[in-house]
Amino acid sequence: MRHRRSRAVGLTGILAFVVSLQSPAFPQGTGIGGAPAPAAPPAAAPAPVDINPPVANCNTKPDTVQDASGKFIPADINEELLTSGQPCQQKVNTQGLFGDDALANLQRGFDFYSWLTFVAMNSPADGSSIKSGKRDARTKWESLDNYRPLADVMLKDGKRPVWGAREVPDACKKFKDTGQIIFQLGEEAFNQPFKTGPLIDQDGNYALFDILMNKPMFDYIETKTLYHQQGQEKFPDEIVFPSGNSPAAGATPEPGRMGAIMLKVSYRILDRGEKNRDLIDRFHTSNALIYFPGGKEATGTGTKVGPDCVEKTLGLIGFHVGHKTRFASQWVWTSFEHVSNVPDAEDVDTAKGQGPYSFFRPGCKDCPVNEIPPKPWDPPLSLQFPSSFRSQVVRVSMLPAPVRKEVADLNKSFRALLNGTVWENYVLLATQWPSDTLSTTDPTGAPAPTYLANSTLETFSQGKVPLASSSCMACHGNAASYQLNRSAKITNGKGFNHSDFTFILEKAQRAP
Amino acid sequence: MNDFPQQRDAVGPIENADEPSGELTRRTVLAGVAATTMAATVAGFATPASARDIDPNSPRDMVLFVLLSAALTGIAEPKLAPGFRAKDKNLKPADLAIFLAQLKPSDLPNLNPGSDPVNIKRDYFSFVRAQPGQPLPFEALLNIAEGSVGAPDREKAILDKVKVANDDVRYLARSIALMWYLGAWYEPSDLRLANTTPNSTPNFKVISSKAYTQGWALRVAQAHPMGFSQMQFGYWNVEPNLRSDFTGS
Amino acid sequence: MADSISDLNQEWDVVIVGSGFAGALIAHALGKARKNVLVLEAGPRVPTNINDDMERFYTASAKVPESPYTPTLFDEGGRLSDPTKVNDGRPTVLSLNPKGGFGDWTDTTQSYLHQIGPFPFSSTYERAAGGTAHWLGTSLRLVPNDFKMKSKYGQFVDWPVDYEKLEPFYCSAEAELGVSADVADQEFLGIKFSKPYPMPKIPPSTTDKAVSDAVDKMTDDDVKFLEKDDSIKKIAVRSLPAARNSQPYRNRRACAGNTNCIPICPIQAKYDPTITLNDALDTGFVKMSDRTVASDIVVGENGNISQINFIKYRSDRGPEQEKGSVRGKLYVIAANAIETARLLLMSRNGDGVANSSDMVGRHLMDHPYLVAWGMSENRALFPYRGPLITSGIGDLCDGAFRRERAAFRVDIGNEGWNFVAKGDPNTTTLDFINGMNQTRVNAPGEALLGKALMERLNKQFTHQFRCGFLVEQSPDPGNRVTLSEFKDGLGLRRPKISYDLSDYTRKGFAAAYKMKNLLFAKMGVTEFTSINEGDPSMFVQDIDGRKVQLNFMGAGHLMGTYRMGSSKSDSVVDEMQCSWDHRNLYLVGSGTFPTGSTPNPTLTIAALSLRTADHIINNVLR
Repeated sequence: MRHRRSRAVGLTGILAFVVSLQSPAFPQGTGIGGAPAPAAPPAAAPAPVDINPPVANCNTKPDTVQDASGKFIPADINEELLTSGQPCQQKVNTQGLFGDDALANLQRGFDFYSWLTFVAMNSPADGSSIKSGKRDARTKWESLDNYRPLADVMLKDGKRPVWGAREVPDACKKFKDTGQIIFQLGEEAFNQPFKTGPLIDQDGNYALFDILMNKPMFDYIETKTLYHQQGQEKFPDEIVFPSGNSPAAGATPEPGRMGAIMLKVSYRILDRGEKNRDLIDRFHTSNALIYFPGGKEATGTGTKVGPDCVEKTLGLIGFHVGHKTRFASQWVWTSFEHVSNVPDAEDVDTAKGQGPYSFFRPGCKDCPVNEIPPKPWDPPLSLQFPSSFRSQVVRVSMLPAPVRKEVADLNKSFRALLNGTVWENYVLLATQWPSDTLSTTDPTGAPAPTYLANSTLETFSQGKVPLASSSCMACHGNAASYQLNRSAKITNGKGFNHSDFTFILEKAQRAP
Repeated sequence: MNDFPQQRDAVGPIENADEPSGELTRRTVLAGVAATTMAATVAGFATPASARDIDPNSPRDMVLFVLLSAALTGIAEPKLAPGFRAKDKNLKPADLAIFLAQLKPSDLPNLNPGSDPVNIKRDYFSFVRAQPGQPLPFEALLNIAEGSVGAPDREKAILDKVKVANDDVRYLARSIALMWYLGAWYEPSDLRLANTTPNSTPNFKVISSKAYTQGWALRVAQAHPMGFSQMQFGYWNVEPNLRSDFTGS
Repeated sequence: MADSISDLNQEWDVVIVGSGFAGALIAHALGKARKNVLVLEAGPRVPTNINDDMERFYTASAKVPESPYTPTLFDEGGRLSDPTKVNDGRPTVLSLNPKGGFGDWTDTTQSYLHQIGPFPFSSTYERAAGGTAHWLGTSLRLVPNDFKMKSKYGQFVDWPVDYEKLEPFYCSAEAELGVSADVADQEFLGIKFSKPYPMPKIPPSTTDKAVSDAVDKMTDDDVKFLEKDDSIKKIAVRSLPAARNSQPYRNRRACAGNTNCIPICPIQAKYDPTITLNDALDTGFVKMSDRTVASDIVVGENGNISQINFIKYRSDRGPEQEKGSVRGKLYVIAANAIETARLLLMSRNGDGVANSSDMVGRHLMDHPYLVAWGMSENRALFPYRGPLITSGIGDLCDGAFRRERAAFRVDIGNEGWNFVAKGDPNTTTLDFINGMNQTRVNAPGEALLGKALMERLNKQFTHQFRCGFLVEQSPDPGNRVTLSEFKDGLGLRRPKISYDLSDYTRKGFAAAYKMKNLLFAKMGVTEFTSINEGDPSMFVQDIDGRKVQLNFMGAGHLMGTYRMGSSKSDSVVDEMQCSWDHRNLYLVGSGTFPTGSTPNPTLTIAALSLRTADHIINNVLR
């Protein structure tokens, strides 16, 4: 039997986070938000792209501080957090509010990091504070300066994508260009992953889903020609997206870098009008040109209807972030929902279950719960579901009770902080993170908590059945690219063609 | 959910004159052997006269359960219970292994049983404790584990004591090992029956879908439970990591 | 989804009975061509997710192929469900046991099939939307000579269609299913490809490599007994083409090696017909009525089929039922080789339809499966990793020897002794913890704990090996499906099966047995194959002068019961799978195979179905 050199296993599991504990007193970033440093002015010849450039304003605030006696107490959740930047890396500690329970202490640290991330990303792109923004202030992630939608990266015929470019499709030119978000539809814009089903709100509108990536993630794809299938086929190395890290002083100083971030959002349609007048002020909204590219019957991708275009007001209802950070090579996964999406399963027959909810009709006696709509599913131009079916969705319990409680407490504090803005209506579900990130036998790194699902994005796979029920990391761990001949050997259970926890690469099309 | 065909009803208590008073369990020592006599043959140990309330929430009980389970299964404590460690020091795995090999009784309060997202140890502890007739032998096993801390070879000390314990304890030890390996429960009395009656095969029931996917039998085989792989496409094309990556040794 | 019977009351273009491979593919093709299609499915519809199926599987003590699916196998008392009480009953491997005990194969209160022998027909199937989702995924083409057994080897019959005619449809089937393989590996015994496979091959496992090394050591003398085809210079271990993603494909993930293809892939990297069925429903032209059992094919005055009667039930063991009927221009029966034959025979008050040839129900074939297992003495194989099977030996599937004996295909198992030792790893683990010897590897009855246990189990599992031989079965008229007097929960007569192995097939077993011995010798595997006392599939075969006890399992391949041919007198359907007797009735699936040869039937079912759909769209319904 061939023996393999035992590699130094290094730190297992939770202990890794002890080592990652940063020493205190990092310079607080001034300025707002976590946008990458602006690019240098264009030179005569294009400089090689620094895929993961240093950024100012990494938020390094921890979720706890120590009092005079050394006891851990919660860090104050106050206005300062709204302008102290976006975390480039989680700042967590095995010690904290929960005594010896390292898992619980770390979980809270991650959940705190998630809130800071949410606040930073949803702060206005113009640099003002999230508190000052109007409900439809364009957020950082809605600006093409900071994030790019997947459909504008994996282009038809494998065309090379250009960062920041905005092209209004011909079919949309019938509308006045007011700088709306251009939202190109495909299968996964209305059908949840692996074609598990569309979600229809109580007004009969399709919920819509979009995927975006930040510049480091985009640059990795673009510079390595991973934006078409042939490029991936030839790519010889293991795919490893850049990681974020907090700035470090001391013996080996280094600047903070953001690393790769991917984002998945869900929307409900909130057209102006009598019906939505009260509702609309509780959501962050964006005006969008929704582009139906057509082509599905011929090519299998695109939409059945089209090319055509409609203009809609979209309300943000769900927000998933995946952030690749140091000491979390399996990424950190967080999810937020609008409070009016769905009731918790256990609240259905209580006062809390009375709503109103976007995807639940209280008191309905024979509405089957969490069931897919009848087929066919392709949306018409109106984005109205062709029958009277309405999704009746509840949030299935899948988080351990201590996590739910800790998250609920954090939600209360942060929502109070955001009082007076639409953002007070959004809540964190939980953060999923690798509790054994260095595992050599589990490439998913022992996700904590085991299961996590957003009721608008993983509606139909909520639960606690291994592999079948939604878990960010278990599912994304299966993501693969079109690579054929990676020269790097497979190790530690990782795959020939794994795409580093993102399904973005598999959306690449073929160059002609 | 149990759909195994021949689930037998639990066997009623077997009368025994030497049954210790205050016995809370339905099952007593099996026919022919007195409980107190058995207790006396367990070197240095008395089977408790009555069950104390062993508690999965008690860090000490959980630590003992993990130490016991590691000895029964041959799989290292930090593998069965990720995060199992000394509270007051941050030890790298190799150093932790040494520390655990040289564990002394005074170290016991300093052990953190570990917190991990799956936490199967808790499911198992609660499960065994809830089985009719098992709290007493379970406690005896935890005592055996406790009494073996400090022995130069703790696994050997525990297994030696188990080997000469009464049948209830001995077969429960086997059921616990099977539970960790397969995520399934084999009744100790069924195991004993299989040893004493020809053509008798013990039945089992899967404890839960979670337990099944945490089974060690195929991890020990440097693979994974069938139907539950956390690996990625193509991993089967190369030999797996060393056994020690999986089991700790 | 048509939930009420009145929704079914329209003149459909095509009514399809059954939503497995054949039914789903045809429904999808017709739906894309904008034909109005109704699918009647006896079982429940596609569930919203596989949570329940996976939960059932994970918690099942007997992880048999049926374990994730409904109807559940056991009643509350823990006995096998009485088939007379189940509305959508089906066979289970648990009812293939010796006489007199649990799962007695002859006991009609436990066995859905009324088996009269002499051997049990050992393959099973599901009745649920998507059909037999517990398939492995193997997607092999027939070799050209498989279509010409009579003209090449003087055996049985020729197919009315040949490899060249079917080849373009093999390509379409491979694209629809998403088959992973490399053309270079698969061009043997005359197989040619007009298009590449959609995805590259599944990488071989560590066990495959050990087998390959052993096969490389076989000399010409060693393999002389096989009389292999001249075109095969060296026997090769080749990757098995499989409908299993090696890359992202059509919104499905790549295989993660869950080692669970049978009974269920937890991440749906393996294709199953619910995928095509869902696509069919998405065309907007296909409707499906679930829990709807076709009970009678009604012949009209002109000899064509005028309607199909059905019974719709509410729950799989409940009495609530409604009756109804549907009408279409064409009818397609796609209910598998046993259920389709059953439906044809029970129609017209038991007089049967489409049966002027008297061949409906006859020539029932499987691939009787010879299984062997052992321990690799020195080399660790690291089984239990990857798909259940990744490679096999197909080079022995054809040759002049087919004049005399059946051919066979070799499967290399990646799952150690799971398939054979009553559900390893449980059995071996129990043996070593409780000092038992059910696996026969613990003769001294050691009872271990601690590191000794861990090391021993590691050694056992990492050295386990099993292989299987799919032996070609001859089409024998006496192997047949008829109607039993025993009924199901709907009051419909259940299938009665008579089944035997011919001499031709047994000689194939003899050759497979010798191949197994050779392979084990070259691999350094010590055999542990055993046959249980009273095994109803046991038979004795004379092999090189010795009397050898053999047995067989079912491969899950049901074929032959309404064969296709070139004339009405000696076949049930023509080459487009249209009934000779009723020209608006199509009978599809592997029931039309005139011979069984050795490859798994599914890809051929798919190709023939697409060809029939193509014919219907372009010639019949235009």
